[in-house]
Amino acid sequence: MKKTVIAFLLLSLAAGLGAAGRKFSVMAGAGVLLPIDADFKELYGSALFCPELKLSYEIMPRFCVWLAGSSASATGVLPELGDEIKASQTFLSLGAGWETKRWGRLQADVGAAFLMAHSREKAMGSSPSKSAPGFDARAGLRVFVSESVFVGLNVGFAGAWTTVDAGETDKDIVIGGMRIGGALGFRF
Amino acid sequence: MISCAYRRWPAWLISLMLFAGAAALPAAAGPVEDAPKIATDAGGAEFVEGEALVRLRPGTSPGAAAMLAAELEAGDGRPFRVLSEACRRPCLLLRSPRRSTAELLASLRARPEVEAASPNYRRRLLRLPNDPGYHRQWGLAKIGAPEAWERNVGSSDVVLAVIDTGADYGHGDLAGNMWRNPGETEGNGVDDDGNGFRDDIHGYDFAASGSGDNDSDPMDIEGHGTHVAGIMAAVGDNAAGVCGVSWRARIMVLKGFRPDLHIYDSDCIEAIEYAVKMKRDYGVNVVAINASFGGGGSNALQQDAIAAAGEQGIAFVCAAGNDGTDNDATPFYPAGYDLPNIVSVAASDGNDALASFSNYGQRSVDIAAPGQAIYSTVPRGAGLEAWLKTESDVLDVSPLEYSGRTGSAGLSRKIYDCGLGQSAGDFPAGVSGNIALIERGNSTFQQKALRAQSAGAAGVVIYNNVAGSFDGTLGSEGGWGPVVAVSREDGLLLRSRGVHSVNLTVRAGDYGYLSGTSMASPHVCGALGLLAAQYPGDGMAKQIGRLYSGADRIAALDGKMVYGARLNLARSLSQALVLTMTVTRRQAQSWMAVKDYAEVRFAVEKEPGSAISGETYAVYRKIPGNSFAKVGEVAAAELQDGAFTYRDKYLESGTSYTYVIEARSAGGEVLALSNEVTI
Repeated sequence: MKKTVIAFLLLSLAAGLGAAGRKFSVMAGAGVLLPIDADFKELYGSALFCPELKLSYEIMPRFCVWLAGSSASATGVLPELGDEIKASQTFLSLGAGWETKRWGRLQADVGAAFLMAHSREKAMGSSPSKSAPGFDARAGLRVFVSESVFVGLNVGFAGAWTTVDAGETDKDIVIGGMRIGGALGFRF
Repeated sequence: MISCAYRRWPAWLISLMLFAGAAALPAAAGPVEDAPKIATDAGGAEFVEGEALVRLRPGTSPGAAAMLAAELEAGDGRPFRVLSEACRRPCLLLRSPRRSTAELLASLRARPEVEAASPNYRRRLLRLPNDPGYHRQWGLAKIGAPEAWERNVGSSDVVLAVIDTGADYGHGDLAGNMWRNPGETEGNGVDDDGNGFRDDIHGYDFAASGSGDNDSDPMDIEGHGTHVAGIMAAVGDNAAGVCGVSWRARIMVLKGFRPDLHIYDSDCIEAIEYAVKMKRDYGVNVVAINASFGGGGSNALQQDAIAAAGEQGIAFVCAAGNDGTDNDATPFYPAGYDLPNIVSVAASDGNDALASFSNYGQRSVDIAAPGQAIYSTVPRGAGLEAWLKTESDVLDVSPLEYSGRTGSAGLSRKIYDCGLGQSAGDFPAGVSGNIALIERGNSTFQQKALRAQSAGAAGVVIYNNVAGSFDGTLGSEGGWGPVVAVSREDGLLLRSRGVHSVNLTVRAGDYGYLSGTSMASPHVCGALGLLAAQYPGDGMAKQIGRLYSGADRIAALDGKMVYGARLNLARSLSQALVLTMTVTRRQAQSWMAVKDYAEVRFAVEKEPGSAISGETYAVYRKIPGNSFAKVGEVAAAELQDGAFTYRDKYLESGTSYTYVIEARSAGGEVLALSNEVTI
């Protein structure tokens, strides 16, 4: 539900800014999230499939603001009890970016964003969840197939640090990690 | 019985065959024989593994016995010469070091020359003690003690401690079983063994005065403790008085009651500490402590002391209380502490009903044991002994509890038949000043005695309305005259003689009757002593598991206590299946959630040769204030090396949980219960 809402918001924004004279970009991509939290990695693995939708708007030459949403989920097994457990991490980033001049078909970009991360787990008969702020930093390289269409590769880090109730003590967790992915983009 | 129909074989020929057979057999391995390995058949009968008794058919050729033994690798055979001659066919014992009895029998029965083959069964000694008061100890028969004694009568290596009013350690039926501190020299006023107590020979007095000042003399100040000690471990089979549940266990006397006849927790804790110290630091094998007392108010220190005893493998057997109330609703301590080494005991009567005075508790009382009109030792001269002399006989009579005395010369009077003693009309005028003979039935002993006293009778003899003798109580102190019970046989004999002269004597003795859960508890304590003697290598938890496993499920006790059962010593001592459980509380942590879980590990030990199979094991759990509920079930096939670890998941942190395992046969019969463990 949350993913649907995020996608709807991003697409609505894209539609609203559609006639902006190639200042608006929309990218749909997929990549791999490499979680940084050691406990998470132990239970759910060290690489998660992570689709992403990103919108950006050039507010002045080579500077843009951008909004992105992504999500990853995984299933694991609790070693002590053999129970199946599930976890998901959802990210919503709002930030700014800078693009280089084009070198022929190529263009690079960097960006940083405020991140709101949300995690949820279904384990041992309970469903704890937690939201926390963090940051998102990334860099990418685009290859323009035409004036309006490009493919890109990007690498970045999105993470939020927080604590959860772990019985007698709190436990520190990190939502997010390194992300590497590719995207197909359109510039309007 | 062996048939001896074949008599046409001459004795010399049989002898020759057996001689030839014996000569052909290899020599025995040596002069020293190992203890025979005992196995059990499907019916529970015990036999020597690897041996078979064989009878060959008439006409079997000479030397067949030897050939048979050689072929079956049973070289160490033994002929029965006299029997063979009498039956005119060879009879012998085959003993194979390599083959089981089942294999031997299968081979033997397939051979044409073998007429009969059977295991070499072993039989029990049918052992009853020769203590003259044994027939009054109905509780021992009820718990199957005679059968248990055929296996074990107790061990002097086992020490049972009793925290009570003290004990008459000089009593003729206790002195031989009193624990004696080997490190202490009597009467020298020195703490020889350095345990902090001077002259603690048989135990210690932790409450010598009103202020609880201690001294070394744990002599009984009231009689209660002597009675309790006798139930646990009066010397058995000594042709005197009574016998204890354990005939040989040693009694450590820890006097905790002050002259005001109360025990204070501080004194009780000191007494427990003493037992713990003697076991932990001095190697005294204290197996159990009996605590036939209690009251309201939970005491954390007392609970800690009992837990410390549990850590040393000492069971703490407690009386459930005599208020006839529900301990779940009104907790009673120390019986009510939720500790794995506490066995809380209610009292049952001769009909296996809960005694009217006994406290109960589905969650807080564990088991029942006989506790009504229990005959045992009392301080010398504080009890009653009785007899009835006629012109030709001396009849054995039992004074009813609270009966009055006659003086040493007795009461020489005429005895009158008063029927059932139901109304004044049953009592002839002549009974006034004489002795009333009344048949048991239709009203209580107290009512019969009251009516007899109203009729002016100086004494009352109540005879049984069914065959045999009986014991009973007048209910309470009441200035009673002498009231005794006799068997139906003796009662009918007296009645048949009409009015005649007798001498009824009820005088001071060393034995007497008492009722209460105080009397039920030492039956269980003594049982633990016997279990420890039979299974010295087993720990406390396993012994308690045996206790519960062997108990008789009684419908009248169901819902009144945890196990709804009455002690059955015989079954506990011969459990075909024993469950032992340990429980560890652990924490499972996912990425964001933490939950406790219990690792319930239980081990199943079946007696060698046991035919039990296809059984299931149910895991039961309870939280404080609730009853046990089943949380899981394990099939026998799931066990690995006789053990299984069940994980009880998603426990609430901060909540205590108590577990017990129940084994049921494929037919649904309860085979065994484990010890309880609380985490």
